[in-house]
Amino acid sequence: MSEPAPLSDQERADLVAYLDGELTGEAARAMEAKLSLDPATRAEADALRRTWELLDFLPQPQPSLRFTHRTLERLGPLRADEQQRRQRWRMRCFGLGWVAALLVSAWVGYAGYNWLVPREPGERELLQDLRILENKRLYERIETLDFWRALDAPDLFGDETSTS
Amino acid sequence: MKEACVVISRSCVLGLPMLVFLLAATPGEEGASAGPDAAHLEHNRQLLQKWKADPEHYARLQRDLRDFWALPGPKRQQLRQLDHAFHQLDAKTQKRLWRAAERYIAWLERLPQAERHQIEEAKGPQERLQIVRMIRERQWIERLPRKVREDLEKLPPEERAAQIIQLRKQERQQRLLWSRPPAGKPRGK
Repeated sequence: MSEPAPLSDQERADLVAYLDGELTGEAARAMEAKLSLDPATRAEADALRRTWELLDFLPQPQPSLRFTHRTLERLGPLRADEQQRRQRWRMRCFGLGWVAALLVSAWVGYAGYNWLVPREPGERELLQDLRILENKRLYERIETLDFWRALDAPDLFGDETSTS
Repeated sequence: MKEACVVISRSCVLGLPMLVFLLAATPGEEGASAGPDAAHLEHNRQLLQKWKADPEHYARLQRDLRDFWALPGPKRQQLRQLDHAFHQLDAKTQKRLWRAAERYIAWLERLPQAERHQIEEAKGPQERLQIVRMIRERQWIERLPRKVREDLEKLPPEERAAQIIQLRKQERQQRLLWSRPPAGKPRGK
């Protein structure tokens, strides 16, 4: 009985892929056919399975007990920064909201009062603006001191004899 | 202690907008910052007592007060500023300006309605002044002797303007001469 020909690199790679469940469809069916017909391939497949089973008996490396602690310690400052940043942002929003609330309160108070209670002038207003009221008809037609001074020109309404 | 501080700061934070609302809703005195002083108010009070004895005058004041308060705020402020600026002037200037204003108002009331309307509806003092000048000049030309007026109308616009200035100057000098007391006699007492 002759020795079966060894598998090529490509054939071995395909076999490993099949055993790992990575081959699908036509390629998987071709590999199954090959396994049933070719003893060399079947022998290689058995050898590979046994090797992998032996791997389960090797000791598994365990992470040290301080690993988690060190990782969390390193994450700590990052978490604190994030928390501070959120806190600052929250404070800023709160401050802006508070200022807005002040402004809105002032506006609503002022506008609301003036809308609900229309201002009626009384004795106090009369006393305060008495001089203006006495001259209101004149002031309303003059409006500004510049206009008044301009009217004082001799060509308009000024004293004709006072200016040469 | 910390809890007490939190309660106080919370009540400040929530209470301040409420306080601002109440303050804003409290009626303030318009023009109080630049308002009259105590002496001026006292003077006004005495004057008002006097006007109360004159029902017609007092009723007119009340009417003017309502009209004044019906004006928009900026307009009220403008009239207050005018009154304030006028009363900062020296007595002689006040008197002179007052006479000019009275002449202007009397002239305005005698104007045909269309022209008066044109002046009253002008957009601002500059435009108003321009219209007043235009009407005054037209009225002045209409009062000139016919021959002078016809000569003036024949002139091109630039020359006419220069001639008007010249004629006005002559007129003023003439008036000045007339207003002087005769030579040799002292004026007044």
